[in-house]
Formats: sequence, structure tokens, C-alpha cells
Amino acid sequence: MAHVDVPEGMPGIRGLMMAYPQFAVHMNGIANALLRGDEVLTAAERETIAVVASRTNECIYCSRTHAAVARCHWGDEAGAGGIMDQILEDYRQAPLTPMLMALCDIAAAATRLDRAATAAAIDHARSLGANDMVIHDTVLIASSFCMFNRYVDGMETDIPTDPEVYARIGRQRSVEGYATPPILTP
Amino acid sequence: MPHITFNTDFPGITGPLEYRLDTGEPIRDLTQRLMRGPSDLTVGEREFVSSVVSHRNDCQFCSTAHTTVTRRYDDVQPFIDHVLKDASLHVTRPPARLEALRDLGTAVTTFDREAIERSVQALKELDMSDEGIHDAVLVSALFCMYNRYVDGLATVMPPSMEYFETLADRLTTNGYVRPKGTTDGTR
Repeated sequence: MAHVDVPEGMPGIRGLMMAYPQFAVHMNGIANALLRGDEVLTAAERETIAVVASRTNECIYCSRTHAAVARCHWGDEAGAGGIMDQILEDYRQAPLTPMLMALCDIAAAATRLDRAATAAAIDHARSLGANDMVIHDTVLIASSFCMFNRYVDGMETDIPTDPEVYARIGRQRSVEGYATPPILTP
Repeated sequence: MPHITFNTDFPGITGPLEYRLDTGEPIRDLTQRLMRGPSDLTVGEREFVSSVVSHRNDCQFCSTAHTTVTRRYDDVQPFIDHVLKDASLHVTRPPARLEALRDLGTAVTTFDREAIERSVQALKELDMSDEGIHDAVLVSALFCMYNRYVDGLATVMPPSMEYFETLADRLTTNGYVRPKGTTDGTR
């Protein structure tokens, strides 16, 4: 049970967002600016970086939710959608492109606040051609999930166990983004 | 040297916030609402929690900035040294409510869910509302983001510590909204 009252049956961050809309509007603004759009990084890559940060923080709700969104963005042909289970298990063992692996390394190191490992991963990503905006967005996605993950788990929100719930959230968010009301209802 | 080239020479968080304005804006808006908007926590208590978190994360820029701001608020000023120094030293022990807020901030920072539970219970026994607990957790979470944004990109400290007094002047008056036309580097 969550540490504060949220609408009955609303899991994860969505219950908090319904109870505290005055903060949700800005948090969804951050998510939309960072995770949507295909400039510099694709939405699929951005969601994958969010999964790695959330997995590093062991936040089950955020990991599964953003893995579901990432699967929708990658689609069947891209391959990475099919390896999302491997990324959830251990992204280092997943067959990612060298660039995406380097960005995931940045995200994991920044999440752990390991400054030396972050610097080394950024150097490596640069050697593969990553520009300033790619590095900025990767660090900020990881940083923002260090907030979202703590909000969700620090409040002990309910975590759905049914995989279909995450699949539905993934389909909705991959199309609508983060500002619309949740598909689940209290 | 920062890991990327910012479009200003401003220190700390200012470089990142000014680098991508469409992400900077909702981050600033969330911060302004949370740190200065209506709350069952005083502004001083919110700044105190942000100092606890930034200090725990060893983020020099955020820790210096927010302890300087915290010292401006009378209800928490006497207790900020308790955060920065070993608690066994001869510093004034904070009241129970501030101790519980400190413990909650530390527990959220370290993702210690049992300690979070204990701190939340302590605050509820002190008649803290749901809204107050919510705001304390979200302040802690927000600064876990800021600390990584600032140090993950290896932003720089200002050349002089006077900078933080100027920054505190702005944060205690105008808050966290983006100032227009400042040239003192506290944007």
C-alpha cells in the first residue's frame, strides 16, 4: 500500500499523478520533452535508455512500463524490441549496437553517480560519433528516471503483476505520449 | 571541464538548463511549484531537505547552493550544520520533525525502503499530512535528478563563493523561474 492516499487501483506513478496533478503536469512535460520525438536519438533509443536507468535502480514499475513503450517504438523489424527481455535481465549481455551500448553505459554510470565511469563512457560514446546533444539527453534521461524511480518506489506504489497491463500502457504511451489521462481507470 | 560545450559560461546547473530550453522549462516549473508553491512544509524545510540530499550525493554545487539558501530561513538555519557535520559534534540538534525529514531525505536518496517506511511513520506520528510526506519525497527525488544532471555532465563550480550568496538572493526572492536578462551568472 502506498505511503499516501491515491485513487483505488491506480498503480505506480499514475496513482500519484492523479492524486497530485499540480506536479504531474510538469513531470509529464519533462517526459514528453525527453522521451518523444526522433531528433538526435529515436524515441525507441530514448525509452531503452530509460529502461536501463530504471533497471539499475531496480524500479520494477518503471522498468516494465518503459520496456513496453520501447517494444512498441522498436516494432518487430528493428530487432531490439525482441531483445527487451534481455535488456531487462542485463543490458550488457544484449546485442545492442555499439553506440546504444555506449549510451546505456553512460546512463547506468550516471544513475549510480559514478563520476569516473560516466566520464569514461562519455569518452567512448564520443569516439563512436556521439555529439553533445546525444550526451546531454542521455545524462538527463538517466537523471530524470532517478527522480521518477524514487517517486514510484519511495512512495511504495502498487506494482501490477499482469504483463498485459504493461503492454496496454506501452501501446497507449507510444502513441499518445505522457500528458493524456491513463488508460486504466480507478 | 564539462563533458559538453554549453552555450553559456555560467556554472553548475545553469549550463544544462540553458542548453536545452524545452527540457529546462518543465524542470524549472516543477521546481518552482514544489519548492515555493503551497505545501504543508515550510520553504525552509524544503530547502533543508534539498541540502540533505545534495550533501548525501556529494554534489558540491547543489550542496553549497542549497545550504546557502537554507541559512536564509530562520526556522531551519540553526540546524543546517547538523546536516553538514558529524552529528556527534557539538551542533544544535534539530527538532523531531526536522530530524524525520532529514532521515526521509537520506533514505529516499539511498533507496533504503525500510528507512523510508520508518521516517514516514515518524512523520505521521508527528501529525504530518499526506501532502507533506509527498512533498518531502518528491523534493528528495527531484534533487537526486539535479545532482546527477550537474555532476553527470561535469559542470564547473563558480570562480568565487560570493556567487552562491548572489544565487541565494535570487532563489529567496524570485524563486526558480528563469530570470530574464541577468548577467551575474545565476540564471
